[in-house]
Amino acid sequence: MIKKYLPLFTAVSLGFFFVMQSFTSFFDKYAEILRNWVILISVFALMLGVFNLLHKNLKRLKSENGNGKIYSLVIIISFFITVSAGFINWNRTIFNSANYFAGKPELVRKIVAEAISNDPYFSFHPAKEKLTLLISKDIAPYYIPEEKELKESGFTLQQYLSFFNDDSKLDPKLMENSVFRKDAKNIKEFSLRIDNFSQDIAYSVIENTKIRKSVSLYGFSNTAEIRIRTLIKQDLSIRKTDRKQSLTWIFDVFYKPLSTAFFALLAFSIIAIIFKSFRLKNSFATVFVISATIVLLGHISFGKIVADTAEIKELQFSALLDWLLFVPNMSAQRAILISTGLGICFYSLKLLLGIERPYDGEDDGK
Amino acid sequence: MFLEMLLLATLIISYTLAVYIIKRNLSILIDLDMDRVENLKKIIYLLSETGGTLLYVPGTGEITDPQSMVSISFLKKIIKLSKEYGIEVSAVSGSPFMFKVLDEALVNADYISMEPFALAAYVSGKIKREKLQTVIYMGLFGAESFLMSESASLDKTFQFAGTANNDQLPFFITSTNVTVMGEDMFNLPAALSENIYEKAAILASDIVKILIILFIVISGVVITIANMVES
Repeated sequence: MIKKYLPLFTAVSLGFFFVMQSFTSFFDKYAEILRNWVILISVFALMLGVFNLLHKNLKRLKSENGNGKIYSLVIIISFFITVSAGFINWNRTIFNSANYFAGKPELVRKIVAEAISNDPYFSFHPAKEKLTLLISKDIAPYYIPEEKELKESGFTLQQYLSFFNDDSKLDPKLMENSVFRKDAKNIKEFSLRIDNFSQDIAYSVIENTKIRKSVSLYGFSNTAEIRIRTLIKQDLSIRKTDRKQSLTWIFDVFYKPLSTAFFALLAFSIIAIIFKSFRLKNSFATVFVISATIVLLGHISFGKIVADTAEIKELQFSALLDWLLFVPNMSAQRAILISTGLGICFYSLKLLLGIERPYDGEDDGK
Repeated sequence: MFLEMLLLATLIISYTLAVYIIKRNLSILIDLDMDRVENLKKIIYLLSETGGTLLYVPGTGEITDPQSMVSISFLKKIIKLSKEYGIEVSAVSGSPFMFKVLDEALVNADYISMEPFALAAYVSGKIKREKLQTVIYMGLFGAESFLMSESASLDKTFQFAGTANNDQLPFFITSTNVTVMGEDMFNLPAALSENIYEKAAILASDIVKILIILFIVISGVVITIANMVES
């Protein structure tokens, strides 16, 4: 009875709780606590996963069946080498960004200024929009605009900074310094995940204790990211703490080339898929081949040569390509997207009402 | 705010009512057209004849993703079917949370890595080494789906795939035998189920969906006419 109804009750009540939380800020505090619980549980789940990986591979090594033993051996050896490298470099590899940046308001300012001036997202925006965006993200104090930019935007420096700070009535020059001094104390976290692989790289968070609000500085562009890395590296080399780290070495020498090689395999798979798809099996395949040919010819200069040789002015592959992409393709994609959205909506309703119970392993599982 | 809450409450109440009304009259309503599900049942039956193993890949999504939730529901139905036919089911996971859930639902689950290509390498290797006859992909996939399904299709493995990720659909459609896309995927566990409430929920959501689509279309037409009249 408890085994059946307790998970159901928990899932339904928490489901409705989070629905209510999106409508009112009253539950925000409790929702934050619950989200922190998820992080805690995920640590244990990760440990369980890692132990399972080890257990299964050790079991396979011990088994009499020789199938795949060598792979298990490679996994176990690399696992222990990587873990030991992590422990050996314990003091060196942990980059405590909160402590590191808290005492360096000038560096924070320099990084943000570099990131913003190197980010194409900002450079394409007019000055007013750019500064408004910075104000809305609460990162205004970390970016002091040039006079030209201020003139274009129509803000005075005082106005620009006043949105963030109440002490704006002070002299702008004095205020600029005071803002930085104050924020140096307030910065609890300015984290940069400098060694991440994905587009999450250099996604930084400034948490200001005064306004008690998390502020995200969104993912920087590649150019901005390189500039940030260089700045941090320069700063570290001045302090002579940038030592060779074995974990980074493992990542750079083994992981990066291997994952790039695996990713490159996609190109060959795409060729195989194209070959398969181009076989005329039925009328749908014919439509596919015709549209694929148009797309190919529209993308390459050969398409124009064909049109010129055939002397047909109306034969514009690029125009056909645009039509194919923006009319049939777009409508089909939107249809799938809308249907997926509705599917998710109704599946969530099923979960909320307890009709669908994936967490309940009793009925259909083991 | 008030309007949003009202809309949500209306949606929940109308959906609940629809489920209960349909549940009472399900037999006289429609017989669900589920050819693909029947095909999958047949494949599982054939697999039992040859004594093969079924590999289940729930994707790289976290447990919080709706697609991963559907994947778990679907896996439960597959386990139930495989128990009837006496087939061994194994699963691999790219998320520690999902691994734990799979481990609870199923005895033979493996955690590989959060790195999608590592998962793809493991699945491709497993299919080749163990000569697997059926692979089911269901959930959130990225580019790794392409490598897995392509290497399995080279080995003539029967593949059943389902994802709501638009970018991966073309790959699955070309490489796998059966692909369930978009909203169909969310109805799949209910379609395999014998629970009358779950079956009624499919019809109920279809009815509410029709109403929503009608609302969107009528609103579009009304707004267009209003704009035309104004101009």
